[in-house]
Amino acid sequence: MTTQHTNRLSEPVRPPRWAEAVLRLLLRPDDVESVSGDLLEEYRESVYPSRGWWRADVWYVRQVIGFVARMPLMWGLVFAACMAGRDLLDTFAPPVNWGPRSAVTTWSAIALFVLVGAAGAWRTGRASPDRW
Amino acid sequence: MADVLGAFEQAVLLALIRLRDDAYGRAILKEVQARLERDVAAGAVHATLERLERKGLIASRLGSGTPARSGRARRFYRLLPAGLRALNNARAAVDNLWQGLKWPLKGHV
Repeated sequence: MTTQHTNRLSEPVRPPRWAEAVLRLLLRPDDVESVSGDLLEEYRESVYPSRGWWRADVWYVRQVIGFVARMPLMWGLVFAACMAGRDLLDTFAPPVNWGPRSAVTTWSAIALFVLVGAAGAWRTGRASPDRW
Repeated sequence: MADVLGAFEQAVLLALIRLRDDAYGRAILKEVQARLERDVAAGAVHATLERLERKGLIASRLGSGTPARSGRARRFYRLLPAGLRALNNARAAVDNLWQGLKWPLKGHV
C-alpha cells in the first residue's frame, strides 16, 4: 500500500515547479508524461518521506541537472551563447589589446569541448558519442 | 565485430528481465540501483533505455498512471529477441575472457 504524502494545506507534495517546467521543456514530447511521472513518483514515495522536503527538492533538481548534462544539444547551446556573448563584448567594448581576450575565449571553448567529452567518456566508459 | 553491450546497458536489460511486466522507468531505476549498489541518476537510465530502443533491443508501450504520479502515464519496456541475443553474447564474451582462470584471482600481481 502506498501513502500519499501531503503538505500542511493537504495538497500532495510536489517538487519545485520551475524544475518540473525545465524538465518538461527538455524532454521529447513522447517522454514528458512517463519521465516526469517516474521522477514525481520517486519524489513522493521514496525521497520526500526519507529525506524531508528540502533534501527532496535538492534531489529533484539534481535529477533534472542529470538530464540536462546528458543532452549534447545543451552544451552546443552553452557554446553558442558564449560565442554570442563574446561577439557582443567585442562590438560594444572592444579592447585595446585583443590577445588576452582571444586567448581566454579560445582556450575556454577548447576546455568546454574536452570537459564535456571527458565527462561523457567517464560516465559511459566509452569514447563513442552514440553511447551518451 | 558485433557491438558489445556496456556494463550499464547489461544492468538495464537484466532489470527488464527481472521485472517482467512491471518494467517501467522508476522500477528499472530502483532495480539497477539495487544491483549496482550505488545511486544512479534517472537521466542515465532514461538515456540508456532510449538508446537500447533505438538499437532495436527493447520495445516500449505506454500504460496507465497512478495517483502518486498524478495520473501521468508509465512507459513499460520489454526485451526483444535481439536484446536477448545481445545479452547472451555479452555473457559469452565475459565467460570467454575468464576461461581457464580461477576466481577470485590469487597471486597474479
